[in-house]
Amino acid sequence: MERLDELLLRQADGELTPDEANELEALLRSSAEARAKLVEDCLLEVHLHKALTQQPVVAIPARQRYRGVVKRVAMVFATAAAVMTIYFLVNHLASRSTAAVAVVADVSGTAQCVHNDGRQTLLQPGSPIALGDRVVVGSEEDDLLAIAFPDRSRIILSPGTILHFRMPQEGEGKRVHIEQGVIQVSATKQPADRPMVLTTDHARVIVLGTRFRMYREAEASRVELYKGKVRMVQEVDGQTVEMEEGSVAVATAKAAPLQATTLSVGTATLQRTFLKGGQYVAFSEDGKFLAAGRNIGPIKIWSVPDGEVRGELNWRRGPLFGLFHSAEGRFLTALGENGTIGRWDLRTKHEVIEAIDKHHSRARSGAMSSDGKWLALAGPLRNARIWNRQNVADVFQFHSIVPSRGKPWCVAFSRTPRLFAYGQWDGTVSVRDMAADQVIHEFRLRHTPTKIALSDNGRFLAVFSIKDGIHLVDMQKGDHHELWPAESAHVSSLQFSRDGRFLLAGMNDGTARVWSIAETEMRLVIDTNFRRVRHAAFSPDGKYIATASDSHVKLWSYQLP
Amino acid sequence: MSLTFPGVLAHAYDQVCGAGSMNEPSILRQFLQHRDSLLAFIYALTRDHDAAEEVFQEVGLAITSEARRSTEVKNFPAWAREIARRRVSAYFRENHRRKSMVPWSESFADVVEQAFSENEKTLEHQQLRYRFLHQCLETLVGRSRQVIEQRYGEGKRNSAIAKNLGWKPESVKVALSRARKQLAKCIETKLRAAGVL
Repeated sequence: MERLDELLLRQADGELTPDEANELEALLRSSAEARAKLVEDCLLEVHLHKALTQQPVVAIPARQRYRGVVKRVAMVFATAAAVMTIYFLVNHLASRSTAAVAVVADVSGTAQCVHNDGRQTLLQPGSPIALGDRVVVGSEEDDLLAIAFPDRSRIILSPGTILHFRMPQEGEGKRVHIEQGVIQVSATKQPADRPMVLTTDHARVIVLGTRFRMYREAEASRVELYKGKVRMVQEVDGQTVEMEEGSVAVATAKAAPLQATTLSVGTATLQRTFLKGGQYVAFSEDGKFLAAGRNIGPIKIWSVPDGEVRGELNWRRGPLFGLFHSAEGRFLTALGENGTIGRWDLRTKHEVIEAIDKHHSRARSGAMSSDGKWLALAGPLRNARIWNRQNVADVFQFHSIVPSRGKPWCVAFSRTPRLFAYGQWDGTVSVRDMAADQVIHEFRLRHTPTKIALSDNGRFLAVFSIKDGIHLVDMQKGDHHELWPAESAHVSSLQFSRDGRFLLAGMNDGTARVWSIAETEMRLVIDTNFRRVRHAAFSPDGKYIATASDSHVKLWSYQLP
Repeated sequence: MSLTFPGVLAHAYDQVCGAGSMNEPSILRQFLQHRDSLLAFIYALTRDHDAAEEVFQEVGLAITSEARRSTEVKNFPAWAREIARRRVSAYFRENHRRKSMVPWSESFADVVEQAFSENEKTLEHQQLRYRFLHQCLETLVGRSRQVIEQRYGEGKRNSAIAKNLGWKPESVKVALSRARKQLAKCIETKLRAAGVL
């Protein structure tokens, strides 16, 4: 049977010689055991391929997210073509005549179709999309839509995206206009005389068969190309650029020079995938362990060097929004959206504290200082509550800050000096020195900030809102920089590296991005192959980045120039 | 890529037949039931996941087309395999120049068909096998885990895995073989415990 294994493997690698092919056939013909082995082998191959390329999606409406068990459905990339099959079947059997150009492959959360005649329908897997239809994806974090074309090309729409399926012009196979938002495109090879064309007000992209992301931002349209080639045309002046793999180009309405530049000067290499890991990740202080948890099920702890599971902790208190290792590595703390906090002694796996705040019915954001002594929750109430822990069991409420500009939406701590930053409903961002108990820095964004981070030394602050993008603030100099544009891909997490030189963002376009603080430039884009990244974290030793999707966790080593 | 998408298939199936309809086309029902074994059969002939999936779509279209005609089928697995075999043959004809594929061999297809028809019992409980595989994957650690992830998660060939990990190709082959054996054994143990073997 060893020889059979070897021959099958060689065949799968395309390395089988004609003599070996004959040998394989003879082996199978002569042995019932070999034939049985072949069947088992093929079933295992198919199942392994399916299991390890699967990207589950939370498939319940956003409004039900907090109620119960989160169900998972299978990935979109893998199934678009199968959905097309089903769609054709549905179409034939129902004897319906429609000018459908595509079909919905998968929906998470809410997505609507606005038809030519003004009718509005909720989209679901299998829904046809006709010429003239406008597809609108909800703007909740969980909203996502995948669309498949008959040629197996696929488009994934991020939250808040609106696409208009327009009549192709002469020489075009299909034409899709991006009114707003972000799309991930995976296009099969297009006919040279009838390619797919994607348009915005600023740009036209002629697709030749490729994989890329396209961002329709407030002032510009951006294309990031991961594979293949596309031709981008700036609408205002007709400038054209041929984009190569690994490049980025931005078209504007101001006739700025259109050029393709390198997307990512840094590199990242996938080291491990932790299946069914979780949506939030945390490295231990020494970087040797990685904890990951999700809304339901155990919090898992892996050894980073060998990828082995080193422990599972029970978490049954609903959605999480943070996991934190204590500095000495002994304790792990989980912050729950319902105001409960779990803390485990990792030596005994014993949970030492169950809940410290039962007043919060549902918190919006939580933070823990990197030394594990300070905790904060921003909840539906008008205040942000801060706790201090002097030892394991001694936790007391230190402060209840009532922001003057509306409810707190996001919170963060620095390490030294002890600063506490919070974003408020009206867009105000405040930084408070906890020793002096006074606000030392305050500014206002256009929209409610949803993610915030402080560098360990308290000098830099990063904050994200949908209408402002990512803002980096040097609080020493008072400088503000826009790192990521407004009305583009949403940010799901922000974290500074321990040395304060880099900022990491997990994005809902399926990427994790790293900016250099000194140059305020994007240095690394990790295309995670997830449909969205829920959370991303640097390891304290600066060797790794962990990215978490709705379920799986990936560990990357990286190099930054 | 995976083409087995139970939720969507079931949804489309409900649209076609009406949920809980008494006139459910048995062909569609059986197609859903046997999809993994059919894909495994196609894979046995192509030994290429992308090609297998491409052919599987064609087979799916053919089968759904037959369902529309209310064709009566006595032995669904054998009937579906025959359709699949013809489609694979056509696929080989169209693609052998473009891809580095071994030439199509009718005699090899015969022996593969024989293997699948002899071992239909193995193909039962395929969903259970898939569920157990997930559980078994979680127990896989170290080198075994690395090679399995790279081989199946990233679709790399042995030579590419060896290069990536800085191993000898022979070491990758051994690690992969061990990992697959470990998984097969783990699934078998669980199937026995569940009383289906």
